[in-house]
Parts: sequence; C-alpha cells; structure tokens
Amino acid sequence: MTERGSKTDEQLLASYSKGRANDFRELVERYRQPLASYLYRLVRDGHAVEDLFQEVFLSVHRSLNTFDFSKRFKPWVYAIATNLARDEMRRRKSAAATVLDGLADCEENGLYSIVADDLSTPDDMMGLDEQKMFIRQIVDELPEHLKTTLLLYHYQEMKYREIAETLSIPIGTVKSRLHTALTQVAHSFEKKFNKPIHQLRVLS
Amino acid sequence: MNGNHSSQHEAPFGNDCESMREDFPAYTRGELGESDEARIRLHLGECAACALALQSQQSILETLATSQDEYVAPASLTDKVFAHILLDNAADVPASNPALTDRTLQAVLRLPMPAKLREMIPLHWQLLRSTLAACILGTIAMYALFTPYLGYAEAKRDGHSCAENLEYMGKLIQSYPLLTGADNPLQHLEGVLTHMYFNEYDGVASGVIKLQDLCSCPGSNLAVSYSSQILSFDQVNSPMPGSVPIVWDRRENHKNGRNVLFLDGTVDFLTEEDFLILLRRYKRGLLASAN
Repeated sequence: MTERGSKTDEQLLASYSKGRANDFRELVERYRQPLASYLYRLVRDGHAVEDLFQEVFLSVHRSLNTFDFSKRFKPWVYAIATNLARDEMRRRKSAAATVLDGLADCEENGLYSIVADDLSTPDDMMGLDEQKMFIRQIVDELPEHLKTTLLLYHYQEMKYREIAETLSIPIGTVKSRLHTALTQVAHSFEKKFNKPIHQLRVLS
Repeated sequence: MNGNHSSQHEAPFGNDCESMREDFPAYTRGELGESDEARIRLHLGECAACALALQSQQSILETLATSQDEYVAPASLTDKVFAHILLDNAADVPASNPALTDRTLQAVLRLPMPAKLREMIPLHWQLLRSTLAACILGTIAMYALFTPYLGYAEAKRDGHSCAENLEYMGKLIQSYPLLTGADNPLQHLEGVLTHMYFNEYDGVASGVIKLQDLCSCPGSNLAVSYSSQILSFDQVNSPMPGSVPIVWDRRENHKNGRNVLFLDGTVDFLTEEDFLILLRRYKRGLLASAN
C-alpha cells in the first residue's frame, strides 16, 4: 500500500469507494481548513459553514458511484461547495430582503443615516491597516461570480483550468472575471482614497 | 464601481493591453508558457500603464495574502461529517422492513453519540483488549437467552430477507468506524458489537432487540442463526486480505448455500462448496499473515 499521506485525493476517494472508511476521513481532514475557509468567505457565518461543509461531503459520499475517477477531486468538491454556498447566499438574501422590507418604515427614524455615517469615515483617518481592511471588505462585496473566481484563484491557489472546471465556465471567462474583479477592487480603492492602489506596495 | 474615476495607470489602452492584463495573474505566478511570458515582459517594458496595472494587481493580491484565515475550522467538523453520513445511511432502511425501521433506525440514531464510547475505550482499553472476545460471545449468548422474550417471532413475521439483514448489518459495521476513526477495518465489527453490548449493559433495552432482529435469518429456526468471524487482537492487527468474510449463515439456514457478509459490506450467496473453499482460503491467509 502506498504510504499514508502520499495518496492523492483521487486515490483516497477510490479507496473509500472500496470500503476503506478511514481514507475518507483523511480526505475530509485534508479539506477541513481550506474548504471551510472558502465557505466562510462566501457566507460569513460559522454555523452555516459547519452545515455546508457536512452537506458537501455527504454529497461526495452519495455521489461515489457516479464520480468519474479519471477527473480531479478538488475542482469537483469545490464545485459542490460553491453551488451549496450559492444556494445558501440566495436564501439569506431573500430572507434579508424580507427583513429590509419590514424596516423600510424605519427610514424616517434616521436608521439609515446612522449606518451611512459609519461607512463614511474620513479618509485621512484611515491608516495602512484600515486601507488593507477596506480592500478585503471590497473583495467581500464583489458580485458573487467575481468573488468566487478571485477566491478560488487566490486562496485556493487554483489554476485557470481548475477554476474553469469548478465553475463550469471557459478559461477565457475565468481570465476576464479575474481581471474584472481586480480592476473593480482597484477602482473602489482609488475612489475611496484618491490615490492609486499600487502605492500600498510602497507604503508596506 | 465602474464609474468614470481615472488614475495615473488608467491611460487609454488597446485590446492588446486588455488581453495582456487578463494574463497578469498567471504571469505573476509563473504559470504562463515561455512565449507568453516573453510577450508580456516585452510589453511591460514598453507600456507604463500596464506596468502600473500589474503593480496594482500585485498590491491587491499581496494585501489579501497578509490576511490570516478568518475562520478556524474546528477539529470536530470531521466527526460531524461522519455523523451526518451515518444518519444518512441509517435513513436508508428498507421501507419494507418495519421492524428495522422502528427499532434499528432508532438505535442507529443513537450512534452519533459515540463520544461516550470513545471516551470509554481509552479508559478501559486494556480491559477491553483482554475481554472483548468474551464480550462478543457473551452478547451473542444473551441474544440466545433473551430471544423468546424479545419478539423474535415478530421479527420473522416482518418478512425481511436474510441478505437484507446481513446487508444492513454491513452498513452498521461500515458506518461505525467513520465515527471512531478506527484504522483497521476489522475493528468495525468489534466497534459495533461492543457499542451494542454497552448499550444493553446501560439498560437501553432496544440494544438487545435491534441486534437480535439483525441476527435472525428468516430461514432458520435456530435462536442464533449467523456465525461471525471472531478474531484475536493479533489477527485484527495483521495485514489482511481485502475481502474478508465476517458474518455468514449457519449451514442449516438455507438449502443450497449461505449468505455471506464481507468486510467491504457486500453480501453474496455462495454454494456450500464455494463457501468452504473461501473459508479455507481466508484462514490460510490469516495463518500466512500471522507468520
């Protein structure tokens, strides 16, 4: 037997499909932190992440018989995770919309103006850390299709081909989404701080 | 976000610049081919706007890289996954088998609490090591003892097949180590039986009923209608062949052969002759691995 730890994801899955339950445990363990972090960056709720993570691997378990072992496991499992997170975000968005509808009447009470004040901290009050935090916040607020592409590229260190496989889109679309995402972040930063974002490199 | 804001590197650029910039992430990571890389390098030397755009991209990615994992996945998450799978397996009880649905499912639903068992095992491991075989035998003996009082006849009326019983037993055996993290699959059987033994011992009456249901071949009049492979710890810890028979019909149960549950959870009906060949081969394997 190949030494434990040196098995590929696909080998672990194949081994599990033949009854070696502990290899599945190793596979889950291997993805625990990176996949859970990815889910967290999408849904921003620790409890939801735990549920989604379980659903992802339950889905893997159920699909054992249909998995094409000539394909790579990583894009497949991230595709499942992305779809489940997307459903969760939609569900939350629609729930939030309902709540906001209910809050519409509060506008007259000044609720929105308080929120707006919080967001408009004077630029000169913001140091380097705040500027970096702002970038992370902008990434968080990107449209879902741009955000998933950027997260998969940057945090999951996927290549264009793997992202294309995960999101079922052509490689050209991956490139343009990534470019658009980075450009949008740069624009937002420059708009906010009135200086080009590459100056951050000089400062840090 | 796409307003008309301008910046020093946002000079008008042509299609060349646009397609170059789409390749910057791969260029930064060194994932482009030699010719593409050379093409971009050449362009960067000539186009100040693209050089700044590249720096901007790098600033963003470097900033993101400095952020730590904002979420630390708890170690218990792995166990939760397996508990989830186990529950899912348990829900897959044949609908035609009400006895299993009512009793076994409820019992299986208790399995996700093996934290109790897992705590128990390290404390009593030495004791368990020396007495496990006796526990298993004792458990089987208890089933025999309690059978007349625990609805054996009712279980037979439910009409589930022998192969179904063994298959479900296999599911339990397979599911259990997912929770315990047992490395050697041969410990599955011990895990399940030990768990059930302790359940009964703790006074959870259904612990006796459920395994008694599973341990009953409808084709048999015997109180204990299956035999199981009871292995010593030395054997359990030996490298074993992949497909090992672990539970099988007693010879009297069926006319033409026996149902056999294998370690991988599959059930096969073998003629008496094939079964004996298998058992001999398996036992030779055991001897070989012991040497």
